[in-house]
Amino acid sequence: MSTDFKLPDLGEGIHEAQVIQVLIKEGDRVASDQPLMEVETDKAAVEIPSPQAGVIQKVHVAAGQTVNVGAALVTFADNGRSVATAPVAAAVAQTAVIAQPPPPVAEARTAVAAPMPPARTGQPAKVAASPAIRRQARENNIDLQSINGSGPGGRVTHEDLERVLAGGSAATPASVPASRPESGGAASTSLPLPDVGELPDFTKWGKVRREPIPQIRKTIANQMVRSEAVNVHVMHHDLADIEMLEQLRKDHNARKTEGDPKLTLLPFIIKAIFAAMKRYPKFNCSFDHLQNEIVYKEYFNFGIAVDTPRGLVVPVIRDIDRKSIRDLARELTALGEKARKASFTIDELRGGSFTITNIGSLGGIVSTPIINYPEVAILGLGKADYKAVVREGKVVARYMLPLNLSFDHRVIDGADAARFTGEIMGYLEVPGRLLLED
Amino acid sequence: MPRRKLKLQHEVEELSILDVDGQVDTALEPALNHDELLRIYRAMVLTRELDDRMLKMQRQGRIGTFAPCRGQEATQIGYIYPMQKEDWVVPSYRAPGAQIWRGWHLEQILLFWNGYEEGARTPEGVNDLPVAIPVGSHPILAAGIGMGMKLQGTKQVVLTAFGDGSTSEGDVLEAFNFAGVYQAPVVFVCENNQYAISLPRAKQTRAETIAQKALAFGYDGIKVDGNDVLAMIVVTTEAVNKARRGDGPTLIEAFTYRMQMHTTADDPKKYRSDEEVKEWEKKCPLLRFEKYLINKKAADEKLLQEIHQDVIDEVQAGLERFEKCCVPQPDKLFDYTYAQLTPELQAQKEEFLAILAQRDSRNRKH
Ligand SMILES: Cc1ncc(C[n+]2csc(CCOP(=O)(O)OP(=O)(O)O)c2C)c(N)n1
Repeated sequence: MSTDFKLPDLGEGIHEAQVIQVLIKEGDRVASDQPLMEVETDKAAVEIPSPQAGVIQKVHVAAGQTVNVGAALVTFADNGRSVATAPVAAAVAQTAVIAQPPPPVAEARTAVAAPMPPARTGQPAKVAASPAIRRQARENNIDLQSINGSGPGGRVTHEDLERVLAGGSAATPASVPASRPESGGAASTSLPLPDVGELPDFTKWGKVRREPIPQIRKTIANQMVRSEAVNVHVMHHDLADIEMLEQLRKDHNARKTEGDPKLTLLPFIIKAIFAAMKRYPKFNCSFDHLQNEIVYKEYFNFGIAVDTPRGLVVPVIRDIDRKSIRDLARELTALGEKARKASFTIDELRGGSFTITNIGSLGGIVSTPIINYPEVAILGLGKADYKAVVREGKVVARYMLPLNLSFDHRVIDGADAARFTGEIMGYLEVPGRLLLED
Repeated sequence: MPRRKLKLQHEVEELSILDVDGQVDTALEPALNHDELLRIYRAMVLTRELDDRMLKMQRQGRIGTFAPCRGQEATQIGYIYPMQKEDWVVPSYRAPGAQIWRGWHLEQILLFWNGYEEGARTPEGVNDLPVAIPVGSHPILAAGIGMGMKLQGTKQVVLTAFGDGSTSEGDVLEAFNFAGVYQAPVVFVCENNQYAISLPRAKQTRAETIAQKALAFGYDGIKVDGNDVLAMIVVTTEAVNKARRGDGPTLIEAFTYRMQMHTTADDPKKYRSDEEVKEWEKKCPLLRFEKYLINKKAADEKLLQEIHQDVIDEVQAGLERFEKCCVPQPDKLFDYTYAQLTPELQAQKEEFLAILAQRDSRNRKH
């Protein structure tokens, strides 16, 4: 006999949740209270522990999927104790009849049948939508004003947004597709892959070992495939002379007082990119091929690719424009600690507009970073080291930092990339120039 | 007719006895024998174990939302300890450990948070009101009960507990006032856990302490380290004795921290930093008490371990009783608060039963 474990109401009147990560796979034997998955509701990101011990016969959901309360998450192939969820549901339903106004769930249901809201006038009124919908719209650069909400009083619902995200019109309902692009590195729905057929039978040539692909690996793979499939990658490489910057940095670290953050190169690089971006805003945009528009972002949120015990993640440092080098240094330190524990919330991984990957901390000079779709550029840093260079006709040793900028040639040209990189180098080579920025 | 300073005789004390390292101030240490200390310890462990289990159960859909109390164990066990059986308690919704200490059954806590009326039915022989969810609505009941005790000349005391947010509710200030005016035997305990949902304590009142609010009503307020069970016991014992002597109310501010979310429906990461939470982790009420017990040779690691196991078994048994327990009976809604229903409630009950009957017959037809 098998038992379904269904998504419970995790808050008060929550009716759906998005699966962030599935922590088990079919065939796994789990202990009671062992975490099964991480999900996020409108209110909070939470871990769902197993209600029982047993073997997972089937996993019904995947990361990225939105699941309604009451939908099966997993099925246990158990002969053990089943969970007493039934009386609970009954009790809740019955008390609801007595004591409470209809919960939001009911509201949402009747909304479908409700008459269309009055047509919008030109006045930008505040659009009704939940915080989660607002966030999702913001991250996907969608103006809620432009959507005709189908909820009560014109409220923009999840379905409305899905429709627009899927490329449907903002006004007419269409069928909701199963997958949609996501922003900011946390993408997890799968893409149709080119059909390359099955792998050969490797055992013909020797022994092999097969391991299931962990969820985080799947997420990374999907995101990479998406970027490779959509962005047209070109890489621009140059070397910045950071002798002066290195001196400044060391000088600070030598004389810093307690509580002052230790400075690495990264905060300066972030500031330099930001300064260059003000002149070249294309590097902070997205290419909207559906609407035939370039979306310029007026926020500056930089993803920092970090290596965690579980694999690559890209937490986002927000509002670079409003942070000092010291602020950034502190935030990067905190990020490093979190990375060690791989304890980022989904929010911390979303909403990036440009990405930096510092592979040089492990070594290497040239790399070809993959753009973090739907961004259009990524800067890879090589290992900073002394190099023999020619200055005033003489070979001298200078401290040099390799820069590897990948950009999307759909929207950025080689000349733009050279100018942008040159601008960044200018700030890094004469860091005093950062002082002149406002 | 000069303008001059009035000489008010008021000060606010602050007390802690057991520090974060388990070091005790022997001059202030209460005289409790080893059995008592272990009983207190066990109650705190039980509170935490139940809390942890309930959080998991909520995520599994086995109970509704609830208000976790991790971090506030010393506060609740400390203030409940001096209360006698014949005294009255008007409880907070965030102190199941105190309720169980008073004689509520463990499964009732689960029943309550699952919407069963049986969770709000005071057990026979226990003088407590059920938990009140409307914030700040219950201290006024405690003031009233205290005034009644005073009129009847009994030697009982009533204690009520509420959060820092509640002190911004008018009813709570009225309760403070009436208890003072009538010198009623009331002990007010504010469980200042630093937040009212997402609102930090600093936005609740301009006053430096909550304890000092008592001064305006003409009695003493004291601020206590709410993560120090010994200090909580000492202060509450003094307040209870004072009330019993007929010397009126006291306001105790237990300075503590809610380690978890407000209820299972919110995400504390959105309104407070991980660093702040980490700082309070170091102040854990259980850890320091364990160190104290060991230093005092009241227990060794092995005994503490046994107590833990014993508690886990007790909680597990409670959960099993809960899951086997009740078929929901909506008509019970009316049955457990009043010995005799008021006319309005009687009319409501009849109307409600009629609706239920109608619904049942409709369901049968389908
Ligand atoms: C009258 C009323 N208003 C609002 C609420 C919603 N609410 C529930 S708990 C809470 C915060 C209470 O904070 P506090 O008194 O500090 O107690 P804590 O929850 O921190 O223990 C609020 C606003 C309510 N239950 N009742």
